[in-house]
Amino acid sequence: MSSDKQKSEMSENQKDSRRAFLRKLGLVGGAASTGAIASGFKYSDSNQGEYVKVMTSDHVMVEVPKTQMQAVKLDTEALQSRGRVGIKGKRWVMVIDLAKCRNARECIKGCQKHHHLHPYQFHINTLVMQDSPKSAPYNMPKPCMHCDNAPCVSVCPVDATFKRQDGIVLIDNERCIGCRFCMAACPYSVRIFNWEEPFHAEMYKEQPMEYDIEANIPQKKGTVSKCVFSADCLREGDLPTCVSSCPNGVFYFGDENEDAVTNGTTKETVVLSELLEKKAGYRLMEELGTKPRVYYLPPKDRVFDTPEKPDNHHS
Amino acid sequence: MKNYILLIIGFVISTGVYAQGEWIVPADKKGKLSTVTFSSSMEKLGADIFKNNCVSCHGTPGQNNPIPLMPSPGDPAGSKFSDNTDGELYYKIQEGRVTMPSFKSALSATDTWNVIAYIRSFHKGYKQEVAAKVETNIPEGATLAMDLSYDADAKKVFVKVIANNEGEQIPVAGVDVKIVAKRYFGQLPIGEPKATDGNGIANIDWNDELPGDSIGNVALTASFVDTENYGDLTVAKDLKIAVATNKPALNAERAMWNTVKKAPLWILFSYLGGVITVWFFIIYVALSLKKIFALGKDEVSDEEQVIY
Repeated sequence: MSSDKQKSEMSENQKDSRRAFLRKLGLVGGAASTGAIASGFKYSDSNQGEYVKVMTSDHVMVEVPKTQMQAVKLDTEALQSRGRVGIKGKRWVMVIDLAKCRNARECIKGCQKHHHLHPYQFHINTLVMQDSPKSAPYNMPKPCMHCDNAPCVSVCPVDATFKRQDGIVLIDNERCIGCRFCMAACPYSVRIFNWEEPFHAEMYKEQPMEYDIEANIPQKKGTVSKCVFSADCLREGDLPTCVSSCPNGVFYFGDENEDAVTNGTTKETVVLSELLEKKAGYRLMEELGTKPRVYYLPPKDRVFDTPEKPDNHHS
Repeated sequence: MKNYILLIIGFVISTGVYAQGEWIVPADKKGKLSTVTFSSSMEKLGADIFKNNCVSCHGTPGQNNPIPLMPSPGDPAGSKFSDNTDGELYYKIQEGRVTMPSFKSALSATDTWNVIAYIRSFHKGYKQEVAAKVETNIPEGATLAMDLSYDADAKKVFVKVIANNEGEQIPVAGVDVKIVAKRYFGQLPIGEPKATDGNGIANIDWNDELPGDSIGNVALTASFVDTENYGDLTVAKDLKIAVATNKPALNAERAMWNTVKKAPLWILFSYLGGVITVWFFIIYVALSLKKIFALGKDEVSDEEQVIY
């Protein structure tokens, strides 16, 4: 079967893909999972040349004649199995320096573009915070905390949301049944629900795309969506979209195992433990024991004036 | 509502005043000049860098379309930029201020000068001054070479700089070099930059707590601090001198949130126990019913029949 034909058939079946997948699973039974992944690859034109070293999906280094090499385009199932595993030896960590945030909201715009969100949907949001009537307000970007003890993952009845070895909490909208238990469980209110058809629904219809769990696109009506630390960018060695789109140097991102974080604006790399120790890093709602992977540095310099009348949510 | 409008007006005025605060560049930085004459290839390279790093705020030069920030980023083709000396532009790009981020770590000296060359291409009547050559012991026309090594006893990394002048090896003295360690998203500076001594060697303190990969390898790169005068020469080496890092995966432990296979044992046992208990009673009741049903089918002799 040609790949185009396969693709058009897949898009026809996309609505029932979850059921079709379960049915397939029932038929295949205990077939080896590697076989299933291999059959999911699509091939492009091959190149001429000599031998090349490549790493197989089960981490074995092999040599393949270059003439036999074919670039693969991963399909939904391959993307899902890759997305479930995560990146070995990494422990992603984000540091948000509140003293530098000037509410440019570029992180939000970049994120909404990357993850195909409606303008009213937020994987990351900036909140206006005021600690006392006399102190000036500050802005607090709030992504998913990617907790090491994630309450949202505990409550998921269908294993749709899960934590990977590199610490990222992802959601599989092919499995999500839209029960919204995770939204209720999250103490940071970072999850959103797709009440409507996704923002790019027309585009998905015209150009069907494979579901990439690491970016959670295409979005799907009736499922929960959330910040994914741009897991697809991390695989390429790029910083998450919010981190690299900030114009004010608010975000640091890096690997805790390397004890280093890189600023998304200045690309300056600093020692993580030193940064948190010397600049009084803290995490949100530490007392809940959720062990967030997002740290904040205190908003020591306020850039906005104290309002004459404080924001009082209770009045 | 009235208070709110006042607040907005107050905020606009206060930031307006803030915007007028002049950006003062230290006197010694003002006169800084490029060591090379701006060329069309530099402008081209600068245009690429500008597109990636500057357009989002400053807009396209000449079109006067910067984003409305306070203070305004300004159009690089305008007089706000052309009134600066080369040194002032260099300082402002490198250091940043308020909404203008510092590009110290994002752009090298060469990159920064390329951007300035690109900006200057929009300024009519601009005439470039080139910096005078610095005094070194490097003969004209010599090629520089650099090497990296580690001394375990002294806990120092040595960077050796040698000038090769027609087969003659001359150690280069008095040049600042720095080393960086490769991290996943960037380069982590190690220690302070040091100047080379009479043997052309600079020794930089090694932080032996730096985490490396799973076997302790770390990729180090040495380069000149003053790349404008000495060039972009670097030397990169993988050295097995860092701490081997083999932390377990974050989903390795048994936990409530983990998958079925990694659920806490007490949940697995109590759940399985519950399932077994319930099924035991269901099967027990079914078997009892079957027994009763079978008893009802049995023939009963006359003696056994009890009639009340």
